[in-house]
Amino acid sequence: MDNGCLGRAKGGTDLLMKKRVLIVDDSPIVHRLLRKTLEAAGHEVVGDANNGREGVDLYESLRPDVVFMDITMPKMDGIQAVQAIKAKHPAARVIMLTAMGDEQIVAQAQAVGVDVFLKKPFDDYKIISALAKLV
Amino acid sequence: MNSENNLRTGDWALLCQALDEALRTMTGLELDWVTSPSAEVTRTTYAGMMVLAAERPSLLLIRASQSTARMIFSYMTGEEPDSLGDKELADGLCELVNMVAGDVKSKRTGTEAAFELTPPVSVQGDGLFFRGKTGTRVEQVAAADAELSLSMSLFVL
Repeated sequence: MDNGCLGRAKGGTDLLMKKRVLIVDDSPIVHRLLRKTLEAAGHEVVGDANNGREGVDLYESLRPDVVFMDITMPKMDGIQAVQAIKAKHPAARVIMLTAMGDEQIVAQAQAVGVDVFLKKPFDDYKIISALAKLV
Repeated sequence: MNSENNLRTGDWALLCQALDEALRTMTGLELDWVTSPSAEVTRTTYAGMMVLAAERPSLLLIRASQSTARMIFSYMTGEEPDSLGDKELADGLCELVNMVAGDVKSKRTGTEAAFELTPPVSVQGDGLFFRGKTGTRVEQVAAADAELSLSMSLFVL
C-alpha cells in the first residue's frame, strides 16, 4: 500500500511498517482496546467511526492504510461499508473483526473483498499479525 | 436435539468454554467457576444480554459488579480502572456477551441447533435481580469472592 511506505520516505526504517489505521466498531471498549494494541506496536489510529456509514465517510477523508471493521453496527453494517469502500477504492485494505465467525458470514466478507477475517475474542498478537499480513 | 427446546445439552458447556476463552484471551484472567443453584445475584451493577433466537429462544446474560467490570475492562484496555465510566463498562459487558454467544452461534450454524442473535442490550443498576417464571430452565455459573462478582446465566424461555 502506498502510505505504508511513509516511514521509508522520511528515512526512518523503524517506521517502515507503521500503518495509519481507521477503526470502525460500535463498541467504545473495542476502540480503546484496539487503539492500545495498535499504538503500542507503533501504528497510528487516524480515525474512529461508530457505524459503517461513518466508516465510509472517514475512509474518504482520511485514506487510511488499513481499516478494522466490525460487522454488526447501526445505520450501515460492516459488509455494506466494505462494499462501499471497495467499490471506490479497490486497493483498500480491510481487516474484519467480529464475534460472528460462521461460514456464511466469512463467505459474505470474502465476497465483498475483506482481506483478513478475525474472530473475537482477540489478543495483541492476533491483531498485529493480521496487520503484518497486509504489508 | 432436546425435544423441549432448541438448546442442545452441549450448548451450555460451549457457552461456558467461550466465556472462559474470551476472558483468558482478552484479559489473561483465569477464573474459578462454580455452578450456581440460583439465578439471583444481588451485587449486579452491569449486565449485558442478548436473545438466542430459535424455535424456543433463550436469554443469555452476563453480569458483573462495578469493581469486577472495572477490573476486567481495565485489563482488557490497559487503562486505569477509575477511568472507565458507566458507558464503557456497560458496553464491555455487551461486547463480552456478544463474543460468547457469537462463538457458539458460529459452531451451530448449519446444524439443527442453529440460532440467530439479537443485538446485545445492557442493563445497569444496583441490586438487580433476574428471575425466570416458573418452568423457565436456568443455567448459571458464577465466580465470586470478597472482591469479585461475575456470572453468566441462560434463561431458556
